Amino acid sequence: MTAGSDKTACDRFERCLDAYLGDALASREREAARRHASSCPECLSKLRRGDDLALFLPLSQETPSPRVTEGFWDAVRAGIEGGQPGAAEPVRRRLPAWSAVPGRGVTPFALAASILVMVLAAYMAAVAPGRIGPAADPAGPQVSVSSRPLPQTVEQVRTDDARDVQVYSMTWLDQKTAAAGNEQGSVTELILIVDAGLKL
Amino acid sequence: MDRTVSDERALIRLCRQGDQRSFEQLVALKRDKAIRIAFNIVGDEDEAKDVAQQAFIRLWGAIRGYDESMRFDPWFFRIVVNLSIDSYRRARKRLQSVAPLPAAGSPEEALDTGPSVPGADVAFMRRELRGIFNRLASQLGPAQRAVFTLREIEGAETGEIASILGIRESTVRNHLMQARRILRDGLRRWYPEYAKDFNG
Repeated sequence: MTAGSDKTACDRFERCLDAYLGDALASREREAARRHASSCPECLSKLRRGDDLALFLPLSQETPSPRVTEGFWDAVRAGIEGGQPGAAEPVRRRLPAWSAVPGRGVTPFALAASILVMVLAAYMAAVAPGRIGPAADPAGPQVSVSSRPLPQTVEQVRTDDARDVQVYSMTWLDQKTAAAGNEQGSVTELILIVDAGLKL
Repeated sequence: MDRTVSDERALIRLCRQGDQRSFEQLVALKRDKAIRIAFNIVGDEDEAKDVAQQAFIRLWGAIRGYDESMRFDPWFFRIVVNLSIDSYRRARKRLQSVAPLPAAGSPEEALDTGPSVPGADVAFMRRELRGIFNRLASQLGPAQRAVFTLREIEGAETGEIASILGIRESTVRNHLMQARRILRDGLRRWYPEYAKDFNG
């Protein structure tokens, strides 16, 4: 019991402790018990013997710091007068089940990008057969030629303003220059950046 | 009828008629609880302030449609909770990982709040509790965190929480059970001295 709490309140709390822990109290009694325990360390301690998560009960007495409350109304008023749109109804929009898939916003863009890259690769293969393959092997001028080119790297990159973009890159190597002993060869690189958050 | 409730109803009626001065009083009346609920869900006081301000701005836009036969608090705090959940989801996505949990057996180091002397000072204890809760609750999903906050910290009834979150009571109980298990496991693992009674 603390100096600020009275013995009667503590006795009352102790009498209803089992009912509280068994969730058998009426809401008003439960609230009274909670309020008492959150400000009486001794009764809170008794409560915690039956429920260690009652540790967090004093958070219910927490008040915001002055830093947070300062200018609070002014900001709200500015929002109201500035015509910030209020929700017509304070109802959470129900989303379809598939919307829970992570990165769902990016998926259509990623799919479109993959198709675009494959179409481009097929086009390059058609107009310049034998010129498409992976980047130069640093071990030597031997270059394997692939007739089914695919994007070589797909990277998820976070931009400075915290947007996730996907970067597809693909390299075409001029086989003739590579075979001629030029390790660098003549390389053409296609980079495709997919930004799902881009407003068009 | 309780005079406070009666006054609050009169205030809400005036707000519905577009009286901004009454709305300022209503904001003053509900501000601390709105910030506290948001803080317990989003885990950051500045973000909680933004969420609460946004909630009041939305309230202003929606209050004309408020049905006075309904209880005001669950109706309003539904806006706060839903905005908090959205904010928490965005933050989790943005950060990918939350602040790492401390190594077992070194809670003081991780909290960096000075020497731990339970019961020594109420403000210090609350600050320490806040640190522990934020770290452990970061392991919870948005709905679990909202349910735990509303039930165990704010003392709301299961039916009321179901109404606020727009989910079934059985789902509320399920979220609560999972949240309690995760928090209890975390408490016992990372803060074992808090998982038992202070006097024990």
